[in-house]
Amino acid sequence: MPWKCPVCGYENDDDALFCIKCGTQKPSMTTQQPPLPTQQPPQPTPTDVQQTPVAQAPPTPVAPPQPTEATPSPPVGQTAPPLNSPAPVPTQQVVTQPPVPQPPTPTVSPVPPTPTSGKYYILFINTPYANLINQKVPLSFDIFPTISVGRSPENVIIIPDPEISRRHAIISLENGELYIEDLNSTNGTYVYDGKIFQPIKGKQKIDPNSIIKLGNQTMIKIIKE
Amino acid sequence: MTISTRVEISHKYSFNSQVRAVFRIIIVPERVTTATGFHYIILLDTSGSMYGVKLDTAKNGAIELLNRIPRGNKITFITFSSSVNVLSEYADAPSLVSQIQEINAGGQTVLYTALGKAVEIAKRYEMPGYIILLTDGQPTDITDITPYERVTLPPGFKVIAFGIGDDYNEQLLKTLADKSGGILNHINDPMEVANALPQAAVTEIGAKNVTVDIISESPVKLLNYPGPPVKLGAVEGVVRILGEITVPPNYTGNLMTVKVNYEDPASGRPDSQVSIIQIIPARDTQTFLSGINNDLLSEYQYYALMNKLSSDLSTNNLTEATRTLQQMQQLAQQTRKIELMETTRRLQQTLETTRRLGNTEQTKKLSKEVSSEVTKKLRS
Repeated sequence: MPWKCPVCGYENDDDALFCIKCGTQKPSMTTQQPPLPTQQPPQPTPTDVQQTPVAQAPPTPVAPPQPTEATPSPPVGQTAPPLNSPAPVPTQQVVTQPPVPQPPTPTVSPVPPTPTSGKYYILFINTPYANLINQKVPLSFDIFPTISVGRSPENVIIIPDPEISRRHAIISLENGELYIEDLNSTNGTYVYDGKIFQPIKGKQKIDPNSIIKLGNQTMIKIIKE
Repeated sequence: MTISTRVEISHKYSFNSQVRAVFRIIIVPERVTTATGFHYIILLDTSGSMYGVKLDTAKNGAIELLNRIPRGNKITFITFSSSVNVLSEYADAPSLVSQIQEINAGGQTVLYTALGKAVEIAKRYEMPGYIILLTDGQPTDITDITPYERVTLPPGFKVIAFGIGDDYNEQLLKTLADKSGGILNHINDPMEVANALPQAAVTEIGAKNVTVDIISESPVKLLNYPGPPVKLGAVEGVVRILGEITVPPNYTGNLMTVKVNYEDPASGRPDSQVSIIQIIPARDTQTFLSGINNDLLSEYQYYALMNKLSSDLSTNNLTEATRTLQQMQQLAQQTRKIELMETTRRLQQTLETTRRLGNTEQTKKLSKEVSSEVTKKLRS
């Protein structure tokens, strides 16, 4: 998932560990140091970065770096996670594996289940990963109020198709009605109108039995049982 | 002082979290002298696929190359097909013309064996130099790229590779060039070989036996040269070393020290230059942001993506290559460097043509062009 740099505001790709624009570390990896030391106020002058060319210098002219007031950074990953954050693993259904009929424990979801009259499923009509074709994956709205679909692991439903965006679309159930929202995906989301696939712009209501195309190669059917 | 060294870093200040800074070390030859004391090892592919125009122009190119190499250098000339044949070893301006003219094409391509022979000869004489390799096909002795990655080239040796046509393995030649800070030249038309090959002769240099050492307590990673330390046989033109360094939180003091040891090519006297980069903590976010050299960051990112583009194309991933080129275009515009913008535009046009034609041959050709371009841009 792209992340926004808290220092300069630049939107970085999810795999960038440092901001491309300003070089600061990705927030989830950052261990913030206490405010800068007051006993050593910086004096920014044009000569702050001093490059000292020393021609024909003696063999060992340079003192080793002395990181005054700089506390060594603890190893990456020791940053305490935010309190009450749900564990990421139970919030995913990875469709590259056989679909698990039993959803993760309902205690993970902080949101009360939305009342539904039937269960919804996704049926894969076509997709590059052949094992998924004709597979049914439940849309567990009682656990996930909105179900994100995409290629990367943070989604509820992960589809291994290179033409599907990292975060491609969101399917939601609101007042008993199904909606799909395209998340500005590269190759688009489309709904079949009986003749052709019409592109979905933003959030759009869909009916059970709708045929949806994600990118160019994955086609799914929404089924209600 | 025959060279000058300049070190630039992207960040003036440290911050309250770790920062990835990038740097550029530029070595400029200030006074040049005739290049002598180098060992040229020429490896010429004479396999069956070289038969005809390719071999004829390669022979003419090789003769012209030998004429251009200044006196005072040593030359080893090796041909390889089903076996390796050493025409001359560590010779002074050899009169090889008649021997070269008698070369015939035929047989397999034992590139790995020939490279092994070249390395063995290079190590025997302990002199910096160049391995000039010209081939038009896939090796037949060792086809896997991994053993080539493991070849230990002698220090101070640079591989200048010439790949002719559409059938050579560009990833293999690029690997050899990258390992040694060298260049891969893609030659589409065999007729160009006669002109391109003699360009590999180095006539003037600013420094010899150059070692660029980077001393820092923080991790340092180089983008376009192996190391640190970077070992260069010679400084023939402007050398630009790009790298990245992690700045610890609230860091004060000497972040890195760049030490360039070299030999004056005229007098043979050793000399050195030292540049120190110091850094202090930023008072606030605004100060931190104002101290960032965005042009340098963008340029570094551009060259990093150029490397990625080469990998995208070698794996035939045109969709990802298009995305990479779009990012490169944005970065090129940010740097405002016409040269980068022009390179990106040209690559985009070629990629667009490749996508339209959609055949594997065209993709292979593009991959070769880009691999060559990457080695040239990263080390020019």
